[in-house]
Amino acid sequence: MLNYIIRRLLLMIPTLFIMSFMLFAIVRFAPGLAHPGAGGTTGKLNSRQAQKEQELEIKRRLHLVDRFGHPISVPMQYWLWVRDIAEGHFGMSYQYDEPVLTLIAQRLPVTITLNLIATVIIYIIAVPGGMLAAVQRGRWFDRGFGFLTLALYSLPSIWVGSMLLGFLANPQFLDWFPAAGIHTTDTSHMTYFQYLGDYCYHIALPLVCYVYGGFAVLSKQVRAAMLDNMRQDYVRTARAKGVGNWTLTVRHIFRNSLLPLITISAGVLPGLLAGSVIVEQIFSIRGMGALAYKATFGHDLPVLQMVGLVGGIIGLLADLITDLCYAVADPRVSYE
Amino acid sequence: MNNRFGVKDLFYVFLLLALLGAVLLEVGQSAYQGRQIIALQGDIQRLNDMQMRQLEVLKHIENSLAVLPSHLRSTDVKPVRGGAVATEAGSGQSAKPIRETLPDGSRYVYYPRPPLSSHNPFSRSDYAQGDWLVLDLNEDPSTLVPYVPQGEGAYLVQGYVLETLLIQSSVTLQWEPWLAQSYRVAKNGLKIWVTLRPNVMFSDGVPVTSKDVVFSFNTLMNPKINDAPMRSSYTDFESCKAINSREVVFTLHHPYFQALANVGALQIVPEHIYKFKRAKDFNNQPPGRLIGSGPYVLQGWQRGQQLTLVRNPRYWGPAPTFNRVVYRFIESPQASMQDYLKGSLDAVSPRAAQYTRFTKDPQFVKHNIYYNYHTPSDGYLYICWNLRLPMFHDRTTRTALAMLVDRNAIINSFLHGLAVPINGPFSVFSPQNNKQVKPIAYSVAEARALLHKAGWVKNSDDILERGGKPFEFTLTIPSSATTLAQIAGYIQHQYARVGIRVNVSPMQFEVMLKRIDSRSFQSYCLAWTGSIEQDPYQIWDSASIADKGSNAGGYSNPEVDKLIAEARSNLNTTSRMHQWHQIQAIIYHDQPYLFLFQQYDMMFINHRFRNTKPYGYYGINTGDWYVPLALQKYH
Amino acid sequence: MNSLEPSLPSETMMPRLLSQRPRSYWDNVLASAVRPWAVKISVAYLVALSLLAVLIPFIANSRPYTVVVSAHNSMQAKRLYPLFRSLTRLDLIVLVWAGVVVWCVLHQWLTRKESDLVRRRQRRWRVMILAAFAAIALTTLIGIFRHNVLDVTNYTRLVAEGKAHGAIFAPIKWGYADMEPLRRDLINKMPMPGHPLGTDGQGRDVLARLLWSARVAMSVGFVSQIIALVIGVFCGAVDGYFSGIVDLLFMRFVEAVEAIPTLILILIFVATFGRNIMAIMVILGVTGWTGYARFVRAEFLRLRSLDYVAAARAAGLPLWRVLFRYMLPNGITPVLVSASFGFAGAVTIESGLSFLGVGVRPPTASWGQMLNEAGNPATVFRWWEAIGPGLAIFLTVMAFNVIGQALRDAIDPHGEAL
Repeated sequence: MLNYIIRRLLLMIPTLFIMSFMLFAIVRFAPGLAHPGAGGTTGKLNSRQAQKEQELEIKRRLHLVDRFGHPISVPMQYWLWVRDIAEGHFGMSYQYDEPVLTLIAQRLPVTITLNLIATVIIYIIAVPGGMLAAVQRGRWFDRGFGFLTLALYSLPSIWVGSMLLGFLANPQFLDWFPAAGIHTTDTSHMTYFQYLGDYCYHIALPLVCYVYGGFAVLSKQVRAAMLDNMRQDYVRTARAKGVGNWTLTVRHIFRNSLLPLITISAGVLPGLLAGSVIVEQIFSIRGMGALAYKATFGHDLPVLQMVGLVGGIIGLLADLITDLCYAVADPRVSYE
Repeated sequence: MNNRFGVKDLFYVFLLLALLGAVLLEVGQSAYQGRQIIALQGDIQRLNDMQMRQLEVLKHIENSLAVLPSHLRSTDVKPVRGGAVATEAGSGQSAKPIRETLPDGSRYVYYPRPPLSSHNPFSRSDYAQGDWLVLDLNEDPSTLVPYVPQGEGAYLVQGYVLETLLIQSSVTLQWEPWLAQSYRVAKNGLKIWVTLRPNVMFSDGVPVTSKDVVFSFNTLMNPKINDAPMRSSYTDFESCKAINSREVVFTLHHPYFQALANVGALQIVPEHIYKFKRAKDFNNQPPGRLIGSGPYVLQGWQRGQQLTLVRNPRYWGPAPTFNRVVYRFIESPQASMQDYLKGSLDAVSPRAAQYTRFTKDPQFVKHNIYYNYHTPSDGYLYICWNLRLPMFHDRTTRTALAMLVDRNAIINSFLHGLAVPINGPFSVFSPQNNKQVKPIAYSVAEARALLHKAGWVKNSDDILERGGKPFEFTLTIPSSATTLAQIAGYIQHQYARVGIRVNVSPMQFEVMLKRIDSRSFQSYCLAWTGSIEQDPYQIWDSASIADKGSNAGGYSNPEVDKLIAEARSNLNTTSRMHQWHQIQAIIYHDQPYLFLFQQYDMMFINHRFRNTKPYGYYGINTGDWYVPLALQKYH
Repeated sequence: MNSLEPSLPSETMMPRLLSQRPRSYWDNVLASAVRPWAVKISVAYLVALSLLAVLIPFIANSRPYTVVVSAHNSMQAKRLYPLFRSLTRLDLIVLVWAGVVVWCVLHQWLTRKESDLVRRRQRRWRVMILAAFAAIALTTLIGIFRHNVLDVTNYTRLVAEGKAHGAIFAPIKWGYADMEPLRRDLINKMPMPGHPLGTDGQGRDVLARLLWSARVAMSVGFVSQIIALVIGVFCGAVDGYFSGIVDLLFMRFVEAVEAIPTLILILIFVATFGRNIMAIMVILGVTGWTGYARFVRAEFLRLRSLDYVAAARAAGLPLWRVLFRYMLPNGITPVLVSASFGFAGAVTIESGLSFLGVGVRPPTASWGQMLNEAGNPATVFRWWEAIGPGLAIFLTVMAFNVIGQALRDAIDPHGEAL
């Protein structure tokens, strides 16, 4: 087992290397990399000298040139970039003129929290749903459920989000929910529970967008896992032994179906992370997705690069955790 | 294997996840803001220590003030409620401002007291201090350190904390002494002497001296400080030197009409706070380090949420009305409208569509104050033709292109009538604007005739052609602006009517700027910010064509160059305005841009505020607002 | 994955030994997949949508098929064909390629009774290659000789004013970019006669734009999935063929690409290389191939361990020949299952990108971009512009998912996961 874990970790190193080099290369060879960014957004004019200085400064920061303005070779650039990241210097954003690390530290918790809450809710509603469908296999409930999950799976979040925002958080129709953000603007006077309540009120609509797709996928998985177990010999044995239907379903089949569910839980997160670009954009939540979106428009490549890297690392970790969970939880799998 | 996972275990997992979520929620979202506040509080703490040490100094100064002639003493401002006049007139015969020309030809201006705004509310019967003003910004500034930031929001916030030597009257456009008590401009315009008021001090109680002015100037001019945009307008200055503790003199390389404005706009920062050894230390200060002599001090800043300014207890000038000014950061216009309707914002700048919709609602109109107003600083929208291309080479074609665009129709259809067409490079509302310039009237038939005259004929594909080359070009617009997309669509349609094909290409702003810098565009649509008196050199002089200058289209007219050079060094306002008028007439005649229009500003204001009417060249001035005692909401 | 046994392509190995006309495994799968009514509806919907995407200039266009215009200066009237005259290069190219595809499908259908499998396969290949060549040649010709005509005559008004007659209009009298910018009463209007789905912020007909968007959605899905398929199958096949260290490294590469959240990876590409419809297609292809590669690789690794491959090798056939000549064609048929889901994903992502404002360029219509305009917070919420596109994306994605699931169920009756 230890062997397997070590091997798995070693295999991650080349992946990490390839991924980082890919991100480095895409951004390194992008046109307009050393442009001073949105400094002139207001239409104010920089003097030419200042603009040149700014460009040189950015080039230095990106390690395109050294202290004296001489160009640096590409492999060396990559090495310096990696070293900077290892030291915690994630570069500077063009748009915000702040370190990328600060920006990510600000936004990652928002996104991760939302996604974790969404994941929990998905599990809470998908497990009973999938079980019921499996038990009712072939009957009208199962069919309806199959159709419903497929429909939910196909429902575009841009539509759901726009409609929720347009109809439920709009003075034009029903002004029931807040239109943007995850908090009232002034939270300083709130107690902890008010604060939490305010948070829940604000994330209600975004959560709907996060949850329905995940629910579709997961409940299908639950149903499949249950059916898989129902076909096993031990179920027949148990039935023959006279175990009651309910006991059988809950205590035997369900328990054995839990294994794949737990292991895929880590895999749910990266998918939600990608979806957060759209949901956060619709509901003006200042998370990682919104950061990536704004960076795309602002041509803020250092930010995008780092958002990609952080997202990628989270994805890799999720993969790793899935595999390890599986290895720990399932003694039937051999790892040589 | 049987008892590996049970229902119970599942619940444990959920519980754990939920707990983790709650912890992350709490820690993740408040820790960061916490850190920001702590950093800020550290700063304020340090300030307090400093105040203790400077108490002695302060006492000394107050003693010395006591023996000064009474007319030089500060106007004593008491925080009063109700009908009383807020500022007691300083006794003495020289209470009136003095403006005179001295024997050596220099202009001398002396204000014994800081000037009050022309619409000040102090004499209103229901005037009262107190209450808060809660406004919104769409994004929090990256930093508030003086000179460094570039965002609109940072300038707004800094305006409450930092003060300038002079202020420009919103009505007469005269520069009036503020932190300064008097100023003198040499006849040739190369020297400006400024004398500070005797009793002004920073919010930590340290008096403002000429040393601080010199420090502020030198910091601003330091090329290592990240303030290039602001510094670029001071390039004509040579030095700033202290004569004594209250007097400084600014020296210029050559006369420049905006020299006084630049001196006047210099924000004065305390040297003892901002002194630095390396420029990096100045640039990388904590973002909330903002200390000045203004009526408010920064109290707290929760990144991404809100920023609070409170009354400066030691303020030397007329006491400000509101106890607090709060800025909330709300990105989505829909959300800030929601907040405004709920009452958690006191004023909001709606979009044109929102403005039209809400002002149609009688219920809303009854309970809210709303304005649409205009100021010279509202930017104007234009389309720049790349004059290097043969198709844009001749004026006749360009005039025809302008004729094809019905600007009033655009304003009515897409902007709800909330804009006004411009006829040249200066704001319609600025004194620079030449009212004699006749706008090119919209006429498709006339445009057709002009195009024909310019040698354009239709080919078999119904496209205009000249010398075998079809009239087809790309119009680049920034991709984030929806109104621009609408306008571009309209222009595309209009030009197609006479046989000109336009390809609209939305582009990310930075990429677009780069294209413009390298002149690899055919035409683009953007806006210039306006100001009361603009220096056309940057955009219209032929010297600004080379080396990524702002004359991107490549406009060059020797007559304009000559006039610009003359006007720039002309210190006489009246004759200079005349020169600007001439320049505008020539440029409009040449049509290097398709000048579109200037948009209005809109504002909704909570009904409890009074004296909110926009006036003068600045429009809305929140400094004049107040809330009658009975209506006050926050205490 | 282990229950893919029936896919043994034994028939194709020894066709001549069979006396009866054989039904291939793929035929069986198709037959059983298409049985449910939901799949039939989905197929019908997608066929209709494809036809719409190809024929849209003839369905929603402000220019009439034909009209008789009386010129102002001369008395003689002239018959014009404005719609055909103003077909763009792109319209024609789409028509050509669609024609070629229809021809190939028809040919397959007509030759289905052919009993000689080898001849049938040869004929099919010949026809397909010929068709591809014809299409490429025609595309080039169109690209060189066809100019896009600029015709903004308002024929509806001409007819109304009596200056033209005998006009035959398309069923919907609006194109995707036609507007009356000077008429404020046509901007932002709710459904009304003449504009059954209302108008948008620039006074364009929402229904026309909704239908035109089908072309963007279908072409982005189609092209991007072909690119992804080619890259994925090629990489997967090469990888499955070499295995060993190549496989190890290659899988790390696939992992690296997959680890980065898709939409963020795409945004990085968009920020770097700019946005336009072609770039979006390529980017979707370049980022979406990993699924195919994994699938083909797994298939190859499984196949090469089978006995008959060993037998073929023992008989003297080199491994590459066995794998590429005989395995690949059978290895990729199940890949079409993931192509179905991939297509659905591409449609979703394209609409998402257009929604975010980094997709198609205006005035091209796209469902996502319409949704974005409808819910733009700077204006009022135009529900009439939001419902149609959302429904269209939903139905399209749903149709592909229904088909994909039916195919998978047919291949692998026990696998129940989405």
